[in-house]
Amino acid sequence: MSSSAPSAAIPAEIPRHEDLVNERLVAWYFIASLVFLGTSMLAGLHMALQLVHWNPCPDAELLSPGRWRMVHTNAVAYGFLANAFLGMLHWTVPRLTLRPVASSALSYFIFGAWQFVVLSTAAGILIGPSLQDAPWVMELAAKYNISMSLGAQGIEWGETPVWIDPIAQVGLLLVAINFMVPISRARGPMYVTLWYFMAMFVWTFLVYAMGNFMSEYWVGGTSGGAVGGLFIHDLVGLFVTPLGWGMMYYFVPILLQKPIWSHGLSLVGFWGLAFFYPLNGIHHFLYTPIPMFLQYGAVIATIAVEFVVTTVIINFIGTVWGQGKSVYRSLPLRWFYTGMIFYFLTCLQCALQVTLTFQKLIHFTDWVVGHAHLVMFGVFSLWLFGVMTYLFPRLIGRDWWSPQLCEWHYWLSTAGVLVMAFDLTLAGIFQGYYWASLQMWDVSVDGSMPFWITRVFAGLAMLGGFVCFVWNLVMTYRTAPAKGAVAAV
Amino acid sequence: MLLLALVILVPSCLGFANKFFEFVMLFRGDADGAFAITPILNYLLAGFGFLLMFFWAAMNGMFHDIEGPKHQHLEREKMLDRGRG
Repeated sequence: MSSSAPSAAIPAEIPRHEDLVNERLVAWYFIASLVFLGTSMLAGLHMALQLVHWNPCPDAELLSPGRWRMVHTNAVAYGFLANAFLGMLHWTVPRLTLRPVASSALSYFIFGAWQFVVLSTAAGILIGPSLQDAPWVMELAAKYNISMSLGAQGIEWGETPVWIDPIAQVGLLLVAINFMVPISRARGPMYVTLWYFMAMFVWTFLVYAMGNFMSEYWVGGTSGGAVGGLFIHDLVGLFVTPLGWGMMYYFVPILLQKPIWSHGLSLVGFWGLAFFYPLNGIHHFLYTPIPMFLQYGAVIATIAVEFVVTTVIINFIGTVWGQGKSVYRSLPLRWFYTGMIFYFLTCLQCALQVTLTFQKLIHFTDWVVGHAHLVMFGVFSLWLFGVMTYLFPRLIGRDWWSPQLCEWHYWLSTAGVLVMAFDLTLAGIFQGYYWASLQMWDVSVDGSMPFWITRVFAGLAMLGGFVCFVWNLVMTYRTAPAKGAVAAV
Repeated sequence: MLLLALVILVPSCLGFANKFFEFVMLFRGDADGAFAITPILNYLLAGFGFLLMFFWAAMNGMFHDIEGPKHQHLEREKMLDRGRG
C-alpha cells in the first residue's frame, strides 16, 4: 500500500541526490571495510590453523596467533562493520532527511581518522608487546613518569591500546554530530530507521566510554570485569544491532517497492530494544557474586528481547508476504532475509543460553564462539553484503561483471557460516560434558579436534566467498560496460 | 487501561525501589560493592534517558500519524531516484 499524493512532510521541491550523498566517500568506506574484512578473515584462519597444529609460522613472534586473534575481532568490529556502516549512513541519512551531513570536510576527516584508529589498534596489538620492554620505552616511561602501555588493553573487544581510546572517543562524538545535525533538522514524525540511528549515536558513545575508560581508570578488579561484560554485549546490542535493523527498515521496502507492513510495530521493536537491552549484559555474570535477583533480571530481560525480536521478524515477514519469490530473485533481498533468519536463531539461542541451566554446560566452550560468528558474520556481515551488492553498481555506474560470482559469494558465505556455527555449537556441548565429567583437559582438546578441523574448512568456504566478491568488484570496476545511473540487481 | 497500568506499575516500582535500596545498602562506600551497583546504575541511566526521549517524542506528535513515515520513505526515495542524474 502506498499513498498517491506526496505527504506534507515532503517538500514539493526536493534536493538532488548528488547534492545530498557523497558517493565517493560511500565507496571509500565500503572498500576500506572490505580490506579490513579480508585481514580479519586471514587472521581468523591463522588462529584456526593454530588450533589444529597447522600453524604455518610457529616461530614468528609478530605472527603469534594470540595477537592475531585480537586483530581478527577488532578488524571485524571496528574495521569492517564500523567502516561499512559509516558508508551506509552516508547514503541513508541524507536521503531520509533530505539534508546533507553537517560537513563534508568533517566526513573526510572522520574517514581518515577512523582508518588511523583501526590501523593503530592493529599496530598496538601486534607490535606493542614486543616494544613494551624495549630499553628506550622503559627509559621514556621512567623519565616522564608515565605508564607506557603500548599493547592491547585487557578488555575483550576493547583491546584498542589506551593511547588510542581518547582519539576513538572524540571520533565517535564527531560522527554523532555529523549525522545528528541533518536528523535534528528533519521535519515531521521520524521513520523508524532514524530512531534506530539516533539512539545508536548516543549509545555507542556511552558504551565505548564505559568499556574503555571505566574499567581502565575507575572500576578495577571484578567490578572492572563486570563492566567489561556489559561492554561486549552492549557493543553488539547498542552499536551494531540498531544500525543493522535501521538499515533493514531502509533497504527492504525500497527493494520490494512496498512500505514496511506496520510502522507502529517497528516502533514497538525499537522501544523494546531501548528499554530491555541495556540490562542484558549482566547475563555474562551468571554464577558470579552479583546478587541473584539482578542475574534473574538479566535472564528475564534477555528473554524479553526475544519477544521484541519476534515482533520485528513478524513485521518483515508481513512485508514480504505475497512476494516471496522476490527474495529468491533479488540477491540483496536474499542476503537480508537470510541474515534475518540467522538473527532469529541467534536470539533464540541467546534466550536459551542465558539460563542458569544452560550456562552450567556451555560457559567458556566453543558454543560461545559459534554464537559470536553466527551474529557477526551470519547476520550483520550478510546484511552488509546485501547493501554492497545493491549499492556498488549504483556507486560505480556499472552492472556486476559476473552475477554468477555474486551467487558464489552468497552460497559460500551462507553455507560456510552455517557449518561453522553448527560445528562450534556441537563442539561446545561436547566440551561442556567433557569438563562436567571431570576428565583430563587433554581429553576435551582431543575430542574437539574433529570440530576444529571442520571449522577450518568452513572458514575457507567463507574466505572463498569473500574472494569471489572482491574479484567481481575489481572486474566490475575495470571491465564491465558503463550503464545507466540506476542499476537493477 | 490506566487503572490496569497503575495496578501493574505501582507494585513493580515499589518492589524495584525496595530491592534497589537494598543494593545501595550493600554498596555503602565499599570499593568492592561497586561490583553490585555499577551494572544497575548503567541500566538506570540508559533507561531513564530513553524514558525522557519517549515522553519528548510523544509530546512532539511523533506517534500521531504512526503509519505516515513509511509512505513518506518510499515517496522520497522515488523522487530522489527520478531526479538522479
